[in-house]
Amino acid sequence: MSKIPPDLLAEWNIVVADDEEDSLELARYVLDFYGAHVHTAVDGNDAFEAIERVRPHFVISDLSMPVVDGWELIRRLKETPELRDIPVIALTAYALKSDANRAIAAGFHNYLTKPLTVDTFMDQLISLLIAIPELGSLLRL
Amino acid sequence: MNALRKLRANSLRRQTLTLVALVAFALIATGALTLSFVVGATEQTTWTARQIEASANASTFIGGVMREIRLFINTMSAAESSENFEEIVTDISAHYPTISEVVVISRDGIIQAARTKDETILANTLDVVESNWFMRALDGGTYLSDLQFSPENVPYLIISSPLPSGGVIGVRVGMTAFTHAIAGIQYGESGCAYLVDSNGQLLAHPDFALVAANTHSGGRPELVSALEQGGGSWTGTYRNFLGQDVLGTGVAVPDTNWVVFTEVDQSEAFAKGRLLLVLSSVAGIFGGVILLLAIDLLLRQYIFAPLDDLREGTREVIRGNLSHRVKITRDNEIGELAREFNVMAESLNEGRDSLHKHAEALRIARDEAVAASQVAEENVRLKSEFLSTMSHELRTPLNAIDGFTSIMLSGMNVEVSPPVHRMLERIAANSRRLLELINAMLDLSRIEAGRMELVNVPLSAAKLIERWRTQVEPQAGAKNLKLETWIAPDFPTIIMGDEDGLTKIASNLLSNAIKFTPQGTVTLRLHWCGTSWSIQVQDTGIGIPVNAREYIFEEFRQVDGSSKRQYGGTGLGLSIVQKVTRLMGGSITLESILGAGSTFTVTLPVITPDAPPPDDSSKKPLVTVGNAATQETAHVENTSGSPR
Repeated sequence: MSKIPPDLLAEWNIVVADDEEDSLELARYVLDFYGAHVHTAVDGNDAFEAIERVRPHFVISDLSMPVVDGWELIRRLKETPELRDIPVIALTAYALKSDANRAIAAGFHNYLTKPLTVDTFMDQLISLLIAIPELGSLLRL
Repeated sequence: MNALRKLRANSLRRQTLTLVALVAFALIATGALTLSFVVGATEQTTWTARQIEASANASTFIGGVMREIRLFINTMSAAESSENFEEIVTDISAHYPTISEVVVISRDGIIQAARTKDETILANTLDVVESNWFMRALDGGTYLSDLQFSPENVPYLIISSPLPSGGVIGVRVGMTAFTHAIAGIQYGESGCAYLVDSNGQLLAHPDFALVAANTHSGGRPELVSALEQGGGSWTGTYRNFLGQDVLGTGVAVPDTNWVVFTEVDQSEAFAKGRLLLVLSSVAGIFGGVILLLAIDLLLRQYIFAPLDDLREGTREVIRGNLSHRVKITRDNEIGELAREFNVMAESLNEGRDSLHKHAEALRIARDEAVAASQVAEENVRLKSEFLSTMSHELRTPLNAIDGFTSIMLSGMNVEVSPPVHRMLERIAANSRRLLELINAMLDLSRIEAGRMELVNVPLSAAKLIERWRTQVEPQAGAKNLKLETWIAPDFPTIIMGDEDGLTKIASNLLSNAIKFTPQGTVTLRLHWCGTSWSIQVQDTGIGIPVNAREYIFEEFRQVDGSSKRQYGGTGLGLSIVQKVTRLMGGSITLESILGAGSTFTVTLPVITPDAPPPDDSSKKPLVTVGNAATQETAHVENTSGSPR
């Protein structure tokens, strides 16, 4: 952790959607720690509004949420031309490989399985972001 | 109409009646014919007797007349030389009523004497010496002429004879006497007689006109036959010269070439026989019809009505009315048949009821099976859904625990004292263990539910072994264990397999080995032997006692209860290895020396890119334990199945 610079995500806008308060709190704490502006949403509707408003660098979204879930959110984003290129990373407690495949097929950029420690979360997140050209270059490694 | 239709429809009945009718007709015809023949024969005998008698009488009479005339001629021959010859002629001719004219002619043809009762025919003959009767008599015999006719068309005969003086006596005989004699023969309605000579010339007949008409019937069969009889009588049935069918008798007249025929119409002669034939035929036909009706009635009552009942019963059974029963009227063969039919129908009825019951039972069983299968499918779905949800619900709080614990441990704007840090580490370790347990259970359940599908893709052996090594390196490093890997030199660079499944096997074996090895080395090897290959994990750990080798593949089983506390782990690792191996069609062998270490070898079939997936492993043999009790080094060959 010490090797990850604290300003890794400085000035990044990130939307995190999760109906679990603990998960939201965790994500916000960690991403905030690394300098990002974290906008939280408790369902897909909130998330969509937030994404429209702030145009984040990327989105982290749970899959099962009340009212509008992660599946519906990704569908809406993909239908909206100006939002469809924003990477959305699924973060879910559903651990089956088939779920992950289904999510990627639906348009999610990638898939992270709960539970995560700070280390595993950041390791995987950085790997994912590096793989995205527009974002990887922005990372302050 | 109904009876007729029935008759036509019922061919056996028709055949029987036809046969009976034919036999009855034959019997009646034979009887009637025999009767009429017998009666006819009797009649003919009677008639013939009467005819013969009448003919004989006529013949005798005519013969008598002829004898008289000869007697007269003889008398005349004797008296020729007397002087009163002419008187004698006159006198004697008066005593012979049949003689119409007498003439005596000298050898020179000069009439010596002549006497006639009616007209002069013989004496008027212009050229007597040229006449037939004169010439024939002159030749020296008595001559009887054919029938002659006078200028008034009165028939007569000439009898001539030579005289001792050399002259000839000629006698003309009228036919009246003969005609009377013949006409006197009358019997029955149509019975009559006539006289013919051998040439068929009719000499006398009750109908004189026929004689006057010079009727000839020469060559007729009855005449020929009668003439052949000579002096006797001949009888027969024939068509006479008048075209009548008659029963006739012919009797020849002695000393002449004449035949007396007496005839009676066949219709009269055989009237009784024919009437009897008609009557007996009518009676026979009437009786036959009554017989037929009676037989038909009996046949219907005893045979066809019960047969109709049986047929109707059969139709009912065919229509499916198995409760129909045939009425048993009599205790004969048909009654027996009807009884057997009823037994059959009853048996069929019972069979059908039984079938219905079975069908109903089958239907219920099928419905139950379908319902059970639906329930089972639903159960599988629910179980799968439950597992998925369970995993999700367990992971969500773990995420918070792991997350916050790791934040505190990582010191991200959080300061904790060393004792708290140690406690947090304990929380993190237990949380990790709980996560492993959840993952293992999820894996196991998926495999058991048949939800784990193998996807065989080309894999790099070197990358695989490196990845597996990397995965367990921290774990081994934490215990200061040496981790070695080895790939057989002939091992192919690329191998087909399901990465996920192979990784589950290798990582579980490796972490198991590390777990039970306090010090020393854990070695991972990939062997190649052409048709199969194997993943082998060898450790220098505590080993597995012989008695434990049977159950270590079962869920939540470790060598003993205390080892769980001592070595940690879920107790599910080997069970997962075994199940995945089985799914891939492979086998596991275990060699272990207590206190020196264990070697697990998973042997897998080589999959060529186009080869079918391995067989369902459920057919493979169960675990065998060889010489487990006596040998320190035991050999467990686990091909499939849970050791139970």
